[in-house]
Amino acid sequence: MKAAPRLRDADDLELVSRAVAQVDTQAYGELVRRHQSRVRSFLRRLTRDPDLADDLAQDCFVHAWDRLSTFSGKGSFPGWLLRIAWTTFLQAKRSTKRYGEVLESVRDTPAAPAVSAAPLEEAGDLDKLLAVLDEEERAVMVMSYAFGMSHREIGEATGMPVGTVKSLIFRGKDKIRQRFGIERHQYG
Amino acid sequence: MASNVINMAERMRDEEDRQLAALFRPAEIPDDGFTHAVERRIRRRVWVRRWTLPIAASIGALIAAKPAMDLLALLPLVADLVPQELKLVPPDVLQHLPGLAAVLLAAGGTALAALGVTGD
Repeated sequence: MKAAPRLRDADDLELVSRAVAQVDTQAYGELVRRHQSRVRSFLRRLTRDPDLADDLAQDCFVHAWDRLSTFSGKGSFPGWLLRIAWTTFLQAKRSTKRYGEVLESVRDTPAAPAVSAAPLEEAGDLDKLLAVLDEEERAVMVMSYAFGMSHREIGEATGMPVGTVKSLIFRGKDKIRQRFGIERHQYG
Repeated sequence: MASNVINMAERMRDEEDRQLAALFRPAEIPDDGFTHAVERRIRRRVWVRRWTLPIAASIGALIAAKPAMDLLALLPLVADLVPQELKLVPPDVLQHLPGLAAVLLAAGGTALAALGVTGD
C-alpha cells in the first residue's frame, strides 16, 4: 500500500502532529515505513534473533504510538524511537521466558575462536563481534557505529550518563580487540 | 615529536572507528508487510479504546436500569412522608421522575459517544 503523496512529503514532526491530533493511523503508518528498518536492525543486533527482534519491533511501534503525544520534537524522531526500542527490549528481557531461552542459546553458542593478529575485517562477521559484547555494550556500539549517534544522543536514548556511554564503547572495543587478538597498533 | 605521536594515535583511532562503522553499518531491511502488521495492531487498538467506554457504560446502564427504576418508583412514596412545606418540587414532577431519569441517562450516553469520549 503506497502512502499518499502528501504523507510521503511530510517531515517526521508533521506526521507526528497529524497522528496525535487526528488519531491518523495512516500518518503513523508512514512513520513506521520510514523507520522500521533502523528499529528492526537495532533490535536484530541486540537479540541476534530476527524473529524475536521483529516481534519486539512491532511492540516498540505500538508503545511509540501510545506515547506519541510525549514526543516533543526536541531530539530526532529516530532517536526517540530507538529509546523506546531499547526500553521494549529491556522489558521483554525481564518478562519473557522466550527471551531467556534465546539468551541461554546465545550463551551456549561456542565463543568465536581468537584469531591471532587478524585485521578486523577478517576477524569474522558482525555476529561474532556482537557475541563478545554484553547487551549494553552492544546497544551503545550499534547506536554509535551503525547509526552514527553522538554520545549525548546515545545517553538520551538509553538513559545512561555520557561518561557511561563512553566507557561502554571503550570496553566494547577493548573486548573486540582482545577476543580477536588485535593489538592497538595493528589498526591503521 | 609529541604532536606526531598524538596525530598517529588519532589516525589509528579513526581507522579503528572507520572499520567498526563499516562492520556495523546496517543493511536496509525490506518492509515485507511489517508496516501493515503494525498498522493493523494500531487500528485495532484505536477501535478498542474508542468503544470500550461507551460499551461499558451501556452495559452498566442496562444492568443498573431495573434497580434504578425501582428505586425511583419509590420516591413519590417517600415524598409523601415529607411535610408539604419542605417540598421543593411539585408532586406531579416526582411522578415523572423515573422517565425523566431514563431520558437524561440516554441523552448523556449519546452525548459522550458523539463527543468521542474514549477510555484513554
